[in-house]
Formats: sequence, structure tokens, C-alpha cells
Amino acid sequence: MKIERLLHPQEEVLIFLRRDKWVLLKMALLYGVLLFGPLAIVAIAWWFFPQWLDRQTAEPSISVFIILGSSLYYLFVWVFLYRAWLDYYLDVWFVTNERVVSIEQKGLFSRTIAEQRLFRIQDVHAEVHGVIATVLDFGNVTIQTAAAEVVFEFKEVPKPHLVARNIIKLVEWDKRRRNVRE
Amino acid sequence: MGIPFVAFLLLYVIAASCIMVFASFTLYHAVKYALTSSVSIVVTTIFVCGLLGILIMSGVTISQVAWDQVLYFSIL
Repeated sequence: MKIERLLHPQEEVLIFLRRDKWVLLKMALLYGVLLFGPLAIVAIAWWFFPQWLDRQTAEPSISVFIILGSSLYYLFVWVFLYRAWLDYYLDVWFVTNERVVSIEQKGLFSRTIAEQRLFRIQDVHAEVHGVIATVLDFGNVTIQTAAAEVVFEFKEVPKPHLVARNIIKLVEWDKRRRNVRE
Repeated sequence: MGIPFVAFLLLYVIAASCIMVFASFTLYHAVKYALTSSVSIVVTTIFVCGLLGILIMSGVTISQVAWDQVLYFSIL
């Protein structure tokens, strides 16, 4: 679904956010270990027990069990790797000159699209927790309205303090142009 | 062909079918929402090729085993 379809006329995207690349790297490391695990087991089996991988006999040998078991395992890991990437890719937050929009994919069959006008936003704050988050500068940005309820939470986005500052500037600009009193 | 092997094949087919149903839903979702940039198209293409590769590999293995069995019983 293209973001442009969600925009009103004269509306332009000023801030566009996804989760930090560290989330992708973490996912890649985990699934990399899972993908190369069977290869390591097969390599060890071939090194120490080459007769298991010999398919000369008419009866199904252990090699068939290994190949089919590995392919089933790879099917699982491959599909769940893609699903994890899709979950990362479809979580999007963007700020336009009129509103803040949050698109969150929760699982395969749950998708939330929420938006709020800029001038209704009262509080924006950024949080960075943990060693890796501090070093790589990513964290959460929370946006609240006058009702003091959390409207949006941008999760694990890069440079959260800069994002929060820019959103506050946009909110002030929007209030000024609408002559909205606080 | 031993019964344990037939049972294993049956389990494999059932499990692979379940995964493919889940993969189909995932792909449907990707086509509906995610194919908006070259990155997502490339990643989805790699995913589909990998999926087909795994299925072809296991299909070839099963067909080779089946052919070996046919030869074995024809010799008998």
C-alpha cells in the first residue's frame, strides 16, 4: 500500500520512520544461525559418518531422512524469516504538514492505521534505554494529546531525540498557522 | 519400503502443506501491502526463489526414493 494514497491534497510527508537497522541486523543474526545450523550438522555427519549419506542401497537410507528433515526445517525458518522482515517493513510512522500517522502490522491479520492532527498534540518525549540503543542512538518516541493518553508510540526509531524535537517544532508551527491557543 | 518411512513421508507432506498455506498468506499480505519499492520486490523475489528451491529439492529427493523403490521391486 503506497503512502501517497493516504495523503490529502497539498499534504507532504516531512518525517518518515521505520525501526532502526539494528532490528534488521538482530533478525539477520538470529535467522543466520538458524539457517546455517543444519548445514553444520550435515557437514559433521558427512565428515564422521559418510556412509549415512550414501544412497546406493535400495532401502531409504538415513540420507533421505536428513534431506527431508532439513528441507522441512528450512521451510519453517525461511517462511518465518520473511514474515519477520515483513513485520519490520510494514511498521511505518510518518509526520506530514498536517498530521501524524502510525501504521502498525501486528501479525498477519491485524493492521492498525491511526492518525492525529498536529495541533492536538500536547506532549512528545523520547526514550533511549540500554547500551546498544545508546551507542546506536535509537529508541522510542511517545506522543500524547491533551487527554494525556498515549496516542502513538514510535518504537525503536533512529535518532529519537531529534525526531521528538522536530515533531514539537511542527506542532508549534501548525498551532501558529491555525491560531490555536494552548 | 518400511512403514516408519511411509509415516515420515506422510508427516513431511502434512507439515510442508501447513507451512505452504502460511507462506501463501504471508505472500498475499506482501503483495497487498509491501510491494511498493524495489527493496521489497527484491526481498520477496528472493523469498519465493528460496521457497521454490527447497520444495524442488525435497520433491527431487522423494521422487528419487520412489524411483529406487520401483526399481527394487521390479528386480524382485
